[in-house]
Amino acid sequence: MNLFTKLLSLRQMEYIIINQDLTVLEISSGICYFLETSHQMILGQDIRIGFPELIGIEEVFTEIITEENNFELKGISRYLDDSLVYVDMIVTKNIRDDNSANQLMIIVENVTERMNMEQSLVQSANESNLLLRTLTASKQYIDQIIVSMADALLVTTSSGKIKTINPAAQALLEYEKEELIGKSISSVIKGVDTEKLAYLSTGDVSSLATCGVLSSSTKELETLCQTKSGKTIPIAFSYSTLQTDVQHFQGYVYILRDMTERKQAELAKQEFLAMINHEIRTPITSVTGMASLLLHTNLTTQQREFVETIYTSSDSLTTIINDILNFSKIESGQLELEEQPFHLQTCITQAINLLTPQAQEKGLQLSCTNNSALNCISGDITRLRQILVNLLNNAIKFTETGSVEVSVEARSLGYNHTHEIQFAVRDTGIGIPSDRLNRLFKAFSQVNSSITRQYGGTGLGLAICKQLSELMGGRIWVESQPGVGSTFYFTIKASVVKEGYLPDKVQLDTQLAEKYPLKILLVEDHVINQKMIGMMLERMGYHPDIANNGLEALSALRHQPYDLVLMDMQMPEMDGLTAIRHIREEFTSHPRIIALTASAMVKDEQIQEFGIDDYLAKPLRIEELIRVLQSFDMNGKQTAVSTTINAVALQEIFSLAEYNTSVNATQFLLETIDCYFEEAPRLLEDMQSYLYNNNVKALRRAVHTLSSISATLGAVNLAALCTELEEMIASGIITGVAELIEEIKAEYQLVEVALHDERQKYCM
Amino acid sequence: MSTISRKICLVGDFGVGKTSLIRRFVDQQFSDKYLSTVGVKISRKLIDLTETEIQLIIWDIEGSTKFKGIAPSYFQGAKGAVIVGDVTRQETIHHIREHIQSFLAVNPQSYIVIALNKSDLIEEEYLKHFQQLLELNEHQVLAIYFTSAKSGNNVDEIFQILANKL
Repeated sequence: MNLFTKLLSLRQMEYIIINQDLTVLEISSGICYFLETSHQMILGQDIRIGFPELIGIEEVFTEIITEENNFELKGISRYLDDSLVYVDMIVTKNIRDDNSANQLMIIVENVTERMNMEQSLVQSANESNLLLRTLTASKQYIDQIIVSMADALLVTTSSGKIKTINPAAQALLEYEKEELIGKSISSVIKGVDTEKLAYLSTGDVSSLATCGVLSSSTKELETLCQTKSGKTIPIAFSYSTLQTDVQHFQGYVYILRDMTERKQAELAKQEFLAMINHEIRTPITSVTGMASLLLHTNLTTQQREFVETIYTSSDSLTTIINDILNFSKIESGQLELEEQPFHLQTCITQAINLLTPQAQEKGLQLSCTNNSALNCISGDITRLRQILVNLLNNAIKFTETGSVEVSVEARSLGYNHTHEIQFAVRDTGIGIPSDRLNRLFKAFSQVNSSITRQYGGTGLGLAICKQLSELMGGRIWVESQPGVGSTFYFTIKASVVKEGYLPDKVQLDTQLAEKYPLKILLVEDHVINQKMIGMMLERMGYHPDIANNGLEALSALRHQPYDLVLMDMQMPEMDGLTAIRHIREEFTSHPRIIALTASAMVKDEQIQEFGIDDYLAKPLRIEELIRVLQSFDMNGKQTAVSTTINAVALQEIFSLAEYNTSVNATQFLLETIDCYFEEAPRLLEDMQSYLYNNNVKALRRAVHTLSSISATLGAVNLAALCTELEEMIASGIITGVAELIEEIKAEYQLVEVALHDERQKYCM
Repeated sequence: MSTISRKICLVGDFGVGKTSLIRRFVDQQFSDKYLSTVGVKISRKLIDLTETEIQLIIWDIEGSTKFKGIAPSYFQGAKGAVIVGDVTRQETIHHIREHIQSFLAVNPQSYIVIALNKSDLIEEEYLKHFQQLLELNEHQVLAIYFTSAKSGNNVDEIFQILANKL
C-alpha cells in the first residue's frame, strides 16, 4: 500500500481511476462497500454500473480534463446492509500520476456521521419552522374568528378581571378595549358575583352559587348587561373555564349575545298572537254560540243538518286555534301553571266524563283505575285535565273496538310531601309503528300525513302534552304495538295537601250589587259576550248598560256617570285603548276601567300607561269578576257620585240645619238643592250670553257665583272648573274660554244626575 | 424494446413533499411523518412508453431553506425536473420561479413540470387562486398540476408527462 492509499484509508476514503470512456482502470480495496449494486467492481467495467449518480454527467468529465475543474456530489445516500450510508464523491484529474492526462480519479468518502448530524439539525430546524408556521396560522385563524364573530367575547382572569374583549364586545358594551381591561366582569354583566365567582341569578345558575366555583356552561343563561352610556341590554351568555399550561393562565371566557331583537320579536309575536286570538276566536265563539242557539229552535231536518255542520266545524276550528295558541304560549315560556289544591280523582273523572259520549258513540268501554291513594294534591287541575283529555281523545279516535283505560299510580319522592304521579292511557286501537314513535311528540308531527286527513288535528296535541308534563316536572312516553294498541304514559310531580286546603266552590252572590252598588257600563262588540257577561252581572244583581264600541261608550259616559267600565280591547270603530285615553282626557270624574282581553297580554306598564285599573282575561271567569267587583271598595275608589258631588258637603248643610230647631233639616236641604237646580242652569245660560256679547265683567261675576254655589253643594269638580275660568277671565285670556264653558256645562250634567241621586237619599 | 435512462430532479423548498411524491410514484406508499431529506437520494422507476422503455433516475434533492440553497451540481445532467410547491404554504409557490431559473441555468434544454402539492388540504374552489399566482412564460414548463402525495392525485401524471418528453 503506497502513501496515497494509506492517507485515503485513514480518512475512510476510497478511490477509482477511470479513463475518458468511463471504464474502470484501478480501484482501492474498500471501494466495493460503496457500490450501489451488490456486484463487484471489475476493472474495465463502466463506472456508472456501480455509481449511477454519474449517469448523464458525461460532459462534466470532459470539462474536468480540459479545464481542470473538480466536480463534487455531496450526501449521496446508499442503503448498505439495511443501514443508511452517506457518501461524498469528488471527481478530479488523476492527481496521483501526472502522466495520465486523460484519466480521472473519483474519490469516495464515507460521510454518514456528518450527514446524520446534519439530518438531525435540518429536521429540527424544518420542524420548528413548520410548527411555528402552523401555530401562527392557528392563531390567525382563531383571531379572525374572534374578531369577526357577531357575539361579544370577553376573557377574564379567575378573579373576574377582564383581560381581553373582541370588537363585538366593544360595540355591544360601548367601551374601548383599553377602558374595560382590568375592570370586573360584574360591572358589565349583571348577576355575576366575582367575590363568590358564582351566578346569583335564578334557575340553573343558582345551583352554581352553591358550588362556590364557576364551572363551564354551554347552555345559554339570560341576564342583562350594562353599557358605558348606561343602557341596559338583555343578553344571553355562556361561559367556560380557560386554562393554559404554558403561562399558567386560569380564567373564564364569556360569550354574550344581544337579545334585544329577539325580545322585540317575541313581543311582536305575543302581540300578534293576542290579536289573532281575539280576531279569530271571538267570531268563532259567536258562530258556535249562535249555531248552538239555532239548534234549540224549530228547524227542518235539512236546516238542522246545516246548522250542526256549522257547529261542528266551528268547534273543531276553536280546538285547532286553542292548540296553536297553547303551543305558542308554552313555547314562549308564557304559560304559568297554577298552584291550587284539587282532588286528583275529580280531575280524572272530569276528563273521563268529557269523553264518555264519544266513547259510547263508538261502543268503547271507558274506565279508570286509580291506585295512587292520593286525595288532594296541589297543582294545575286545568292543565292536568288538558293532558288527560288530549290522550283520551286520541285513544278514542284511534280505537274502533275494545276499550280505553286510564290508570294512575303514585310514589313518594321523600321530600315536601312530593309525589311522582304516573298516568297511563291504554287503548286497544290501531297502534303505532315502532319507527314512528320518536316523532310523535314533536310539534306538527303525526304518524303520517294520512292521519291528518283521516282523523284531523294539527299534530300539536301530543307536543302540548309533552310540554305540559315537563312543565309539571314529569315526562311523557309511549309503548305501542301496531294492531294491538298503545299506552301513553306521563308523569307529573305534585305535593299532597290536606283536605281542608281545598277552596270552596265559587258561590255566586246574588246580593253582591247590594253590598257593592255600582253603575256598570259594559263595552263589548260581540253579542254573545255581551249576553254572557251581562248575564253574570245580572245574576249578582247588577244592571249593566251596554255599549258596542268605544264611541258608544264615550257617548254613554257623557249622558251619565258610571262607577265601573268593563272595556273590551279590540273593537270596531274605536278600540278599547283609544276609548280609555279619551275617557281619561275628557272626564274629570274617572270611572274605574277594567280591560277585557282575549289573552293575558296586558302588562303592568300598559295598565299604568293607559290608566287601566285592572284587567280580566277572556273567557271571563265568574270568580275573577267577583274579585274585581269586591276590590272596588278596597281600592278606595270613590263612586262617580262622590267624585262629582262631595256628599260630605250635603251632610254639613243638613247638620247645620238640624241645629236650628225651627227648620226642618231635610226640607231645607232639599230646597237648597232645588234652588241650585234652578240657579245653575240660568247662570250657565247667562255665561253663554255674556261671552257672546263680550261682557267680560258680567261673565266673571256669573262664573264666580256658579263656582261658589257649586262648592257649597259639594260639586267640587264643577267649582274647580269655574275657578279656573274665572282666573282666565281675570288674566284677560280669551282663548279657550268657550271650550271651558262647554266643559263646565258637561260637568254640570254629571252634577245634576249625581245631585238627583243624593237628593233621593234624603227623600226616603 | 430498448431502455434509456434519464435523470430527473425534484426541486423545491423543504417540506413541500418531494420525497412523498417520489415514494407515492415509486412505491405507491405514503406516510404523514415528516423526515427531512439531506443530501440526495436516488430512486429509479421504469416507465413504458409506446415504443421504448425509459428508466427514470429520480434525484430527490434536499429542499432549500433560507439558510441553505441547492447545490447546482445536483442538477447537472438532468433532462427534466419536477418543481414542487406546497399549496398550504404560499411562500413555497412564490419560490417556484427561482427554482425554475436555477434549474434551467444548469440545464437550459430540459423540461419542467410544476407540482402544486398537498392539494387535498385546500378547498377546491380556492385552488384556482394558485393558478393565477403562477404565470409562467418559460417554454420548458410543460404543465402545472395540483397533486396530492396523500391521495395519489396527479402523481403518476407528472412523471408520465415528463417521461413522454424525454
